[in-house]
Amino acid sequence: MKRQEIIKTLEEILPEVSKPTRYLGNELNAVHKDFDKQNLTFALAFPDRYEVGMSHLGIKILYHLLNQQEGVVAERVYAPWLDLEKKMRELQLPLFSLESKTPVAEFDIIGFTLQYEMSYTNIINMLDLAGLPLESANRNSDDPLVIAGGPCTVNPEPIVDFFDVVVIGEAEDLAEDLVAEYLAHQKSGGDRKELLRSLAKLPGVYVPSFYEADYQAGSFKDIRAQDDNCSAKITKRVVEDLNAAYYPTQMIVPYMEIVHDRIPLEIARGCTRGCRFCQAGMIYRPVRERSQARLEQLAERSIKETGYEELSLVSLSSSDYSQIELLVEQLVSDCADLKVGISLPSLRTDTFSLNLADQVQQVRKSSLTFAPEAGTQRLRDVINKGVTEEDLLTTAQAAYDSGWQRIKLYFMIGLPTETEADLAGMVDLAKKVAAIGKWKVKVSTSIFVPKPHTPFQWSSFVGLAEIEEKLSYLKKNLRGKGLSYDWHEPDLSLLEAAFARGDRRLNQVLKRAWQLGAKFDSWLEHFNFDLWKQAFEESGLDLADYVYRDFDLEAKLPWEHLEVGVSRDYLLAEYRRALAEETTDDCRFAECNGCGVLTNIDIESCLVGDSNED
Amino acid sequence: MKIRVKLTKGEQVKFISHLDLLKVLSRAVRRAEIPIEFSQGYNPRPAIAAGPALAVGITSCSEYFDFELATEYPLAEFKADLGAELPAGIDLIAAQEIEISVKSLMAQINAARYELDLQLEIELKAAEVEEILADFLANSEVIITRKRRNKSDRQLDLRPLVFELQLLETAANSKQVLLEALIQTGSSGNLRPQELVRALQKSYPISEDFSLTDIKRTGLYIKEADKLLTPFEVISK
Repeated sequence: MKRQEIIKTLEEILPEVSKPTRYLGNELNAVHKDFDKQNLTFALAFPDRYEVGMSHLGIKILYHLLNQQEGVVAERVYAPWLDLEKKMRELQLPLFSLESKTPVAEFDIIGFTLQYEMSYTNIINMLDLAGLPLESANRNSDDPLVIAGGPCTVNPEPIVDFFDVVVIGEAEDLAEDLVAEYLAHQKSGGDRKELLRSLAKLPGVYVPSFYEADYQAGSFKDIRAQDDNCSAKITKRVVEDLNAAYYPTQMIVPYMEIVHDRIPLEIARGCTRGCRFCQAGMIYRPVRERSQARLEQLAERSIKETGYEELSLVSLSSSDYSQIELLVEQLVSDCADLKVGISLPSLRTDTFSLNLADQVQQVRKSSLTFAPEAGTQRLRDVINKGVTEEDLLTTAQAAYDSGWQRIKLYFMIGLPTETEADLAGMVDLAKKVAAIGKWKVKVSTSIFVPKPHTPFQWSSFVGLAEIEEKLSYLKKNLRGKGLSYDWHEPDLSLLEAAFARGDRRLNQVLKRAWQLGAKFDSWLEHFNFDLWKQAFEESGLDLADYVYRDFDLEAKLPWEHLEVGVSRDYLLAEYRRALAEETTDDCRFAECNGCGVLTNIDIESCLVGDSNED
Repeated sequence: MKIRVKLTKGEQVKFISHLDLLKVLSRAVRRAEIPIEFSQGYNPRPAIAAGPALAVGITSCSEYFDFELATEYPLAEFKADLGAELPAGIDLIAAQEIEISVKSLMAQINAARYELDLQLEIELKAAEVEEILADFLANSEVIITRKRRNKSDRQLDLRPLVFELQLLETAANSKQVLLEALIQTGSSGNLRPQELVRALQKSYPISEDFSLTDIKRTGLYIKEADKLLTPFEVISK
């Protein structure tokens, strides 16, 4: 179907679908270039619905960065919601880009972001809606190059069959090289294999088809480059200097409410706290902070160019930003006249952070969120979450005294070494917080999923039956005045665990689950665990074996050909310290822990305090 | 000072909800750096007040909004600055300063004019369509059932809410007609244009193939007895 036909068909069907503004593509600051006159066309695809995809910072950066280049156009694609998908399939309307309504199959490159494992079926579904051969092996030179990026690429193995190229690390650092290499290839007129070969030479580019995995006795054994032109290890891309790095200010302002409906101002990347369960804390190292001057400039411009009423200071741990007090003070005063609110997500549990929160929420003190993650000091030491019960209670008391009316407490269940005492500790802690005064305390638990490139990458996922027991204990005990409790679905976490640490054999399970009807799995109302069980059975693979297993400390892991910076030795040492209940200090304040990132990546960490001279 | 503005809501923005449209306007005001007044309280909101909401899908060339400013601001500049920041599909047609104490648009406006683009099930000449409309208007009552969210259905006589109904044009193939209706809107009696269409469909050969996107709002008025005034004509107390 041609672009004009797509436009015409959409005019007819959009009045009949929910939230049609999702599909218009004419939001403020959306970039509309003459599609047919570009040298390189790039579809940026987010495998979830508009409200979720539009909230994602990485895509915003890439979108505007690519569109800055002359001769290059980037357009957005999201997973159509089920009502539109149904009509698309009935009318044979192919997946289209939002801006020009061009069929996605006509783009040169389609980039998908891998944000969470349970969005993988949507990727397959979108490739299918685009009318493309699903697997890389079945696509040829006429088809778009299908690329993956995003955090889950630190172990992309369970979904590599569907991708031609995987970008490891921060894709914005690669964008220019990738465009140049692609344009050179276009000129030379080489075939697809040659294109892949030339791309594989770029640092951070992983071409899965050039690598082959071995299995022995039903287990993963090794993965190796098939020829000498490919490096044995692919090292992640990293933006060295956030101040010099491109950052968009003319961000798209949607015509409907999205999940994060505000300006995201990224103040820093990376985190040195070293929580042992946290993948982001490991894979986004080293810490790099943007200077206050640059942030003030970005804030001013983004407000002027979007008109947004709220600005959010984004990072993995905003209170860790070296000069956060100065920054917040300045931004609050800059924004006050414009009536632009400032939000500070991801605050630590201490009075310092509370003061910050008080400063930005001068008027409305609605809800404060703290994440002690575990119920006892012993378990918090195991996970290296450097927060004490005293910290939490003092902060909570101070929060109550300064007028906060609601507090949310986040915990994980199923952490390595967890016992009943830890759950009892969680209940106890929540009750102490509730007893502080007349306020609402909401406890949320998620289920711990061991992730690649973390000290817990070798740990087993806790058993489903055990989770049910833990949940029922918490449901029974987390009751009382002002106290409420909500929890995550265990089945979903179980699958997440399988795909987080899975190997290449899972590609067939994924495809089968999609064929059986799995999609939008992270939306509880659409998640159907039975389909997945059937897909595992039919593929002859044992789900239990993927999740309920302590990985062998000596064996090679399916993602160890991908270098994210922190070394295996460091992770292993941290794992052992965890089991010994020993904590490790934050290298920001103590000495270097030897995680290896600075040598493995060849980069400097950059804190605002250190680099004020620039 | 208070400024009353008349805007369009065109094809490009017809799916934006009423609340989201207010957000679009408040963000445009912030980009334009117009000194809008903010409400007091926990959650300061810009003082932009809308007229009667337009259902999602309907276009309009006649939407009204009152902007209250914190400081004096020349009208011409206001028009230019706001106009430059409005997205495609929202055009500023006119703006006028009004007295601070003027009643709100919601309290003032009580009549709305719509164009209805309808498909017929059979070919009809203009005279035949006019006959149908006269027949409809000759009814002393036309009862419709209004579905209400979380409430039981309600029976309603729409006839007194229809002030005018006429044929604007017929298409060459005679199977498509453009009607114009002036109907009551507001808190003391409100008729939705789609309800009028449904009532017509019930008794006359008008196709079921109809959606809100076939409706266009062309005017909002303050109706006093037989006088029809625009919101720009009632701007002092």
